[in-house]
Amino acid sequence: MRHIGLLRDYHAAAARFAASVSVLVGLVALTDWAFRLQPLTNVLTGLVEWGPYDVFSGRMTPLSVAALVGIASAPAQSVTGLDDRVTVLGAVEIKILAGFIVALSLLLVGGGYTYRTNMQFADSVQWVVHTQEVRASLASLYGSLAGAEVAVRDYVLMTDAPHRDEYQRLIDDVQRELGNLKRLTADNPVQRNNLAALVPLVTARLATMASVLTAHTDFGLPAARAVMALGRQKNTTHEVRAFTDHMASIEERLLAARQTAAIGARNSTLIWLLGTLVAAAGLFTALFRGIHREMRARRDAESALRASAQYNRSIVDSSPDCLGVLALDGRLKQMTPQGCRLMEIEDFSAVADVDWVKVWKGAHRTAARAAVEAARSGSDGRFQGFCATLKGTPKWWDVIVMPVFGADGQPERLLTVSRDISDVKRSENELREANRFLDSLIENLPVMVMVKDASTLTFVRVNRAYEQLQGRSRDELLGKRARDLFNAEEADLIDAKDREVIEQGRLVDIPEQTVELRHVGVRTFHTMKMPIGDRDGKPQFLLTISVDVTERKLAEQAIHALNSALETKAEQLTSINRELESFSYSVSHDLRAPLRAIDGFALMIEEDYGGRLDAEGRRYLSVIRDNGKRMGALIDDLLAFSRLGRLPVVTQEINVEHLVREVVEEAVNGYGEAAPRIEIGRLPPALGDRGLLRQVWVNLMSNAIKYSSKAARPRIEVSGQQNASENLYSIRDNGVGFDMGYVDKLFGVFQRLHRADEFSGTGVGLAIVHRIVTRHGGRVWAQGTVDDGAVFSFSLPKIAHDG
Amino acid sequence: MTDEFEAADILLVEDSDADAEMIVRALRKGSVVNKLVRVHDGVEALEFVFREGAFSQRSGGQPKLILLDLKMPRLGGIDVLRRLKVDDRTKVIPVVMLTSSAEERDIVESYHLGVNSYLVKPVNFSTFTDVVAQAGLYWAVMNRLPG
Repeated sequence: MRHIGLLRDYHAAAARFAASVSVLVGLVALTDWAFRLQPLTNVLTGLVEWGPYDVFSGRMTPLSVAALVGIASAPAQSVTGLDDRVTVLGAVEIKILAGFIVALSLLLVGGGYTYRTNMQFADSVQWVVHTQEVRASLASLYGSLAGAEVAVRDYVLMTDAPHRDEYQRLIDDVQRELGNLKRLTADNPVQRNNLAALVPLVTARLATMASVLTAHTDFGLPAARAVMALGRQKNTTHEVRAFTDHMASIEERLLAARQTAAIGARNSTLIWLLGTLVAAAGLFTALFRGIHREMRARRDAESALRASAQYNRSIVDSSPDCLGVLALDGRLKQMTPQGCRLMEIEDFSAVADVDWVKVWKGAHRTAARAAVEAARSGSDGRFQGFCATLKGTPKWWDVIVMPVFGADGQPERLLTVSRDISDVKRSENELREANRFLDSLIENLPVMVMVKDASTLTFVRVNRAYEQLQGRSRDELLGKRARDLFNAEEADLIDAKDREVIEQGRLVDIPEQTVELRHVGVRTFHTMKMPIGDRDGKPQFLLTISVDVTERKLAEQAIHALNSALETKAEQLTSINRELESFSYSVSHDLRAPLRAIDGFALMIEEDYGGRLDAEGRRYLSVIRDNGKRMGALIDDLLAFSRLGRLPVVTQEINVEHLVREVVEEAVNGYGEAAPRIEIGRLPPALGDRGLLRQVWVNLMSNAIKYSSKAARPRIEVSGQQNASENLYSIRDNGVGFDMGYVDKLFGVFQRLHRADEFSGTGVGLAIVHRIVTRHGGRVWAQGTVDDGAVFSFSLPKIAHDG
Repeated sequence: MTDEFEAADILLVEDSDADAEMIVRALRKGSVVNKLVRVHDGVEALEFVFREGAFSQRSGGQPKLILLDLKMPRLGGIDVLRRLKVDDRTKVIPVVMLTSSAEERDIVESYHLGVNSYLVKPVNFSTFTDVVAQAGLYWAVMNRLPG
């Protein structure tokens, strides 16, 4: 395209040159023709070797014809080979040029013609002088000749010297006038002929006069007279006279003709001049109008162009991008205000003329250089690069460098359009980062993740867990269908499920799906399938997430079996509990009724028949009643103990020191002086059921008092301490102690280490203590030595235990 | 027989003959000499009160006090109490539970059903005598009923 353009440019230049030469030659030839300038024509014709020609002939020469053709064709040649871009001459200019050429030709022709007729007129004036000169010369010739004859005659008569001198002077005059006439008539053949005829006549007369004088000298007067008379007979003087008059009249006629011609020429000159002037005036008016119109059009076009330029400028300035103009060498020449803002340049002169390429660093500089090179060679260069602003704000740019072509079609400057894509780049980075994160997440998930194409149901993505399960690499899996991996029946099931999910467009949960796999055998999966829609919500992919629940399933089955066993056990326990409850109920109600009867009727015997019994009989009744009461106590304790297991534990914070003091106060009440010495140390507060723990302290305290009651100085110490998780409480007495061999029996129900006649009791107190402490999540233990006291300790957890 | 029940001040519902005898003795000792009728279980108690069955021909008003054992054959004390307290004819009759059971569950339920008093029979007969005598005195003699 560009080569064609160049060719066209050369063509246009050649045409322009040809036109100029044609016009020049044409004008010269026209000038030559119009003004009849022989020398110039000769030079030109000499150059082109067309041979000399007669200027005054008035013929159109071949050159002239060629010149006219050239002039006429010049505008056409100027137009030839033009295109829109490379305009040599516009149509109006061609018209104006043509007009000028025509006007110039007209002026040349008119001027030349005027010049020529003027020259002719000047010639005709010269001819008048010429004619008068001829006439004067003719008259002088005749006069001198006639005078010379008179002088000859006088000399002959008087033979004096003056007349002879007179004769001699007049003869010279005659000779001079003949020479004059010959010169004056040299250009006129008719007069030349007449002069040729006149000269012999004059010569003859002069010869006659010379003969007279000779005769006079040699032979005297008479001879002279005879010769003179002889000469008079010939009468040649009259002939001369007639001839000179004839020649004068010819000159007169010539003059008249020439004057007529000059006047005619002058008139036609005036007409030509007037015509030329009118035509030229008309042409110039037309030209002026044309030029004026053209100028106005240009002015309008220019202001439109200015407005358009301003408009374009405002468009350029309103671009949100950074627009810069570079010289071909890559130096920054201009930048839009928005560009300066983006680059944080406050004063453009600070960066004017910097090498734009060097603004970039590293690989970006290479890219920038390549883009500039591309633009310089006429195409667009584009790249993305990082470049901090002048103030150091890091920014990413999308840059296009493009050439700005000059009138010659060559890149003249470079335009850079740089778009700030920092945000885009940042989001891209974030997106990439997020994608990488997601990829890594999906890849490393312990569950199997696979994505299928919603239309073909082929795998498009799988993660490592799925590869491992299938025992195939993803290269073997991607693009495959279910049928390629599973047996036909399973594959059909999988495909049907997939289609169902895609059609329903929602998540489907398959809690259990059993599938046979190539190298791991039959496995059970918990699978979830969900469609992934495209932007319009149309299913594009199918996401399947599977967890191998084979092991869990087995475990679940085991747990299930265990659970049902437990349930059976629990049911058994419940029924046992129920039985126990009804048992204790029976105990409380049914066992006591006969006891009451025993006691009641024993008393009735005592009351109603006591008088008839002896002391032994009354003692028996008393034993009956004591045992009845003891059995009642046993039953009550047993009921209390069994009730403990069923009472709810209400946890609260307890000030144990307070509680113990309360218990001690009640316990020693009534002992009076015999009361043991009881020391209470620092006891940590506890969390638990106040009523139940009170029972613990009551039982332990009453035990301590009871079993130390036989000591010389009964002494009881209560102490407490804390560790990280427990509160520990101990109660020490200096009583009878116990054998550590029976320590296991201490906390059993109805277990006693002493006989009832030694120490009263039912053997339930410590069992109750054990049960309460255990229900609180604590432990209870004892240490003792026979006859050396005992220590009972228990712990309570620091965290509330609802038992 | 019928006449015997006509002016029953106290209805004793007690399956145990020994207990019944001791209760009667205790009441007598406590100077409660009101006329007393004893039935053996809940069914008889309800028949007496609602004049059904064996007691359909009974004349005379409702007792001033019902002493009710808890655990009895056929129909227990709790069921009898429920029937008595939901019926407008009988709900104003004072009912005192007199039982061996000190079970919290029984006490709570009895009070929910509207029992007027709950007494546990002590094993010790002296104490038993005192308790029964006092209750009988209070409810059958001192207490005033509407109408």
